[in-house]
Amino acid sequence: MATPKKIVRPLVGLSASVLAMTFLANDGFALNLKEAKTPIHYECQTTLSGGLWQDEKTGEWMSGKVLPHSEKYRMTLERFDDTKGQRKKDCLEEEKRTGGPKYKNTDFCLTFKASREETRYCMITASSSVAGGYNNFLCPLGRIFFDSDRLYGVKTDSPEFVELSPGLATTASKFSCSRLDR
Amino acid sequence: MKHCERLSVLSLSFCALLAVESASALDLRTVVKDLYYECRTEMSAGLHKDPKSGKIEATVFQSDPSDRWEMKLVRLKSQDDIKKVPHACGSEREKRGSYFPKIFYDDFPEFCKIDTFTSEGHTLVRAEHCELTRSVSSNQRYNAIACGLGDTTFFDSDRLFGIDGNNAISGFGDLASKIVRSASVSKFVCQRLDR
Repeated sequence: MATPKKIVRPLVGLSASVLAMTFLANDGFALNLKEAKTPIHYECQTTLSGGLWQDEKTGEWMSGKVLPHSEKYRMTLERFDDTKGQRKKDCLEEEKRTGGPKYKNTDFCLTFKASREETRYCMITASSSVAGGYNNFLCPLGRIFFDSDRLYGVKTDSPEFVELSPGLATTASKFSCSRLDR
Repeated sequence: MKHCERLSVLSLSFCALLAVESASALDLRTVVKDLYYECRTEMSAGLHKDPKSGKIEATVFQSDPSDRWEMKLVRLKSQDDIKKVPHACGSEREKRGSYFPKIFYDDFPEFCKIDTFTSEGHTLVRAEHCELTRSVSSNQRYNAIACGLGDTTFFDSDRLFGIDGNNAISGFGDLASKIVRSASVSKFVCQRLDR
């Protein structure tokens, strides 16, 4: 009787892992942001980036692929009405500037937390990958698009940097995330 | 520049230099008449989705130097001026409403940037609302503008170049699986047209 136990235990462990992973993946795919409880926390990382930058020594402009940032950062998606404090103020300001839709269940605030915190006004929207589901969000002024099914987003940096610092790059980048609170 | 018309080639060159210098010295706060430029994309890079593999790649895009467009900057001084420019400029201004009051300030001018692309008899017009800003080159002089709802375009009237950040939203949204699009940033260079 000892032999079957030895076989069964790893099998049970494996099945549980596979099942759990399937549920996790499925959970990610099935997220309907209209109904989802917030805040939703993600850990993200830039995986691909291309754009323009100015050489600080020569002043020459360069274009090309930019090395991805290695550091990870936190991204939190929160329903507009549930957002509080400074985040709410920043989000509200952007909502006004966007002339946002002001629908209770589609208005969201997105906060990036790396070396500094940045909050953007976003609206959730449907994608072609899930029929009838609201699984994407768009942040118009932050120029961010995120697909919560495929767990990746695209962000275009503001060219305002030209006024601030000539050495910085302006880029279009892809970032990938993992859900933290399941 | 009318006094340059009858001069020799050498003098004309000098006049051209003067024209460039004059373009460099623009203070956008005092501009009254419309400004015309001819522009072309000099370099462009960003992300692109491969139509076959569906993979997103970081790419340097090729730009055609012969592909040019006209950029017109119209000074907005009143609601009447807004009625004369494409609708997009007025609606963008309204969306920025919280800090763009109904009144117009003489020393903080607003502009409507109208890009006209012409190709094989077709004309495409893009208009954006712009606000005055400064660039690092100007020693705190107001010589640049930031345009679009998310300040997606920057143009430096001294150095005659701009940066356009294409909106990521249009790049990888709902239609991404069907249509190949890109999210990119590009640098465009312009020359002043005297009209």
